[in-house]
Amino acid sequence: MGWDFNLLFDLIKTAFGWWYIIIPAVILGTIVGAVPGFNAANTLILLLPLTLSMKVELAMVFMASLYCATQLGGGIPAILVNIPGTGGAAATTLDGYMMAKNGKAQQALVCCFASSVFGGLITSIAVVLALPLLVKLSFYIRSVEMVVVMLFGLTLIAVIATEDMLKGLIAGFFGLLIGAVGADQIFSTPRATFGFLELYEGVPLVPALIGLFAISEALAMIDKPTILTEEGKARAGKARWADTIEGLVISMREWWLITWTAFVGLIIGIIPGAGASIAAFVAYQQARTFSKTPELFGTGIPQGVLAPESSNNGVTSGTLVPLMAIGVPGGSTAAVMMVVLQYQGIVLGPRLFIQNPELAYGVFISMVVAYIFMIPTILPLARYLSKVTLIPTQYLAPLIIGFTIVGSFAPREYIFDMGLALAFGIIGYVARKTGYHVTAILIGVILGPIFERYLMRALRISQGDIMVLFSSTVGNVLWAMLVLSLLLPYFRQHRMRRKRLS
Amino acid sequence: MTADLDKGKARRQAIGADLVIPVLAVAFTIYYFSTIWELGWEAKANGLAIGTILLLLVGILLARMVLQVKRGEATLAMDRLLKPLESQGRRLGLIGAIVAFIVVLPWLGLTLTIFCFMCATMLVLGVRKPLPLLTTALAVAAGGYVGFIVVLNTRFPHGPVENILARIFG
Repeated sequence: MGWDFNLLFDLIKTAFGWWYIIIPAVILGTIVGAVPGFNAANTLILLLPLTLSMKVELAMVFMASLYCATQLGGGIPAILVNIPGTGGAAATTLDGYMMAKNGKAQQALVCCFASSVFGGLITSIAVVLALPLLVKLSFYIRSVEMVVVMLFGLTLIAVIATEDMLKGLIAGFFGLLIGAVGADQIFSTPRATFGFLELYEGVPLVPALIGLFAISEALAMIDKPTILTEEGKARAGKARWADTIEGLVISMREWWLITWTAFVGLIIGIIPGAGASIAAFVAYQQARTFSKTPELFGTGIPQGVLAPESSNNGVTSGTLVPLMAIGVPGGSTAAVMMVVLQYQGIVLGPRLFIQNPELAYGVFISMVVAYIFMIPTILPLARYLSKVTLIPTQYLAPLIIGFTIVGSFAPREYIFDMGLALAFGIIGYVARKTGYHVTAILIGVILGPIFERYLMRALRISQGDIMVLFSSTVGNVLWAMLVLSLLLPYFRQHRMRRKRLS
Repeated sequence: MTADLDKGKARRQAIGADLVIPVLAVAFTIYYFSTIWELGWEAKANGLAIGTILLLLVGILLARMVLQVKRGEATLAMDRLLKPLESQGRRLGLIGAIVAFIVVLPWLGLTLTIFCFMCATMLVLGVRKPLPLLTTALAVAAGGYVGFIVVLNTRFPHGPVENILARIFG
């Protein structure tokens, strides 16, 4: 396709003119993303009466902007109180919360905002420039390749369990088994549901996330007057604009990390069914693998915030690629957008780019503009948001539980889910106190069912032949990369040890 | 001599609490296996593989713990979970408040339940000044009402507060 620069310029100009739609959508998206239990998909469903009545271009701009902002918003509570607002921000807690505890909440928030904006921005631009190529990519990645992509995410269990590998693996496999609850993929027979109909679709992610992170954290934090360390208390009390600038400088220095992890997110986002949580875990794991200081991951370093946040925003652009290009929604949010487009009589697919390029490319251009608007809207808030860490735990713990237990009800509207969140909260609390990583449990709960789905699909196609997993070129390249990323840290450690000895 | 013994005891790690998650994991695995035993291979392959590895890992952990206790490096005390003791009452109070929240929600409705929950938990955690206690609880309850009932129109149970406000505002 030849490039029509006049059209591109017009689209950019028009998108900037829709600031009155984009800015409220960005603010609403950030708030929604920060509240566990709410995400772009369920908010857009609630707002369908509004978006269906809007002009289709405006509705798409509103929905795309809100979607981008929810990914950014999810990182805020992950950093401040160790509670990921969305599944995609779960990996952010690993280093973000540690930075907050050390009194560097402001820097962590700025890193989160900057990497989200930059990651989202470059992937949106990349999508506009290379859309036909990216569509082809989604045809090459099928269930066989997805099994390997899932394994990339699952290896993070071993990575974060470096302190006590055995306990980490027990936590991870416990999570995987919890993730295998519910009707199986082929015959829909219930497994380990304890007789609860509410568990037939599997363990719902939001109550698990809220319990493992929010409730367990609230139960654990009451041992101390604030969540901050002594050193962190002194630093957080003196939050200045200089800290915001420091966060920006750190982010700019790590531009290459942000760039390649954003593309990891973009590629995973293009694959229908994959999502931000997988992308964030994979990006975190890969960032650690290729880091010069992998041992510092998990102790509160900016790279541990930049990688997952950049990646989960890369997913937002990727999810819309199969929707616009072949009419297949890449995720639940894209599915809601498809409802709006179909209601307006828009036929999705390759023809859309010829018949209605203003709409097809306009969505991605509006994402670019939304990210640009996020900089002045969200960035200055870091200084004030970081004050949350100073709230005494006797107020903070009830606030966290109050908001999140209500959030666990919101997605499915079952009171049962609140009880489930409490059960996960107690498991999470025991896990925290006894050195079993809650993130390892969550990775299992999130990735377990998706892994099983792709594995079963691949095995079904091959009639049970396990060798199907090594039958495609792309898959084999991914296998090689997986093995390489697992061996690389050991080779590096070995080389460093030899260097030290000599 | 007694002082040396005490020192040795103090140096020994209390690892009894480390057994809670593995015990839960083993119990859940056994239950999981009991529910999939008669299913087709496609339905049980994944769970069977994960569960077997989990049992194996727990076995290794148990062996490690037995060796630690045998060597005198650890005890089976539950200190990690039970200490500091003074926080346990407050923690149980929080858990009790969450249970009460879930139980009374269908009768009291969202707004009143949140208000009572916030007051109860802050009292449990030692907030005694009535002004911050009531204003915080009121603000959270009002936020919950506006956010979840008015704006998002979720299906949270309605109670006396929601009914009165619905009558006032139509």
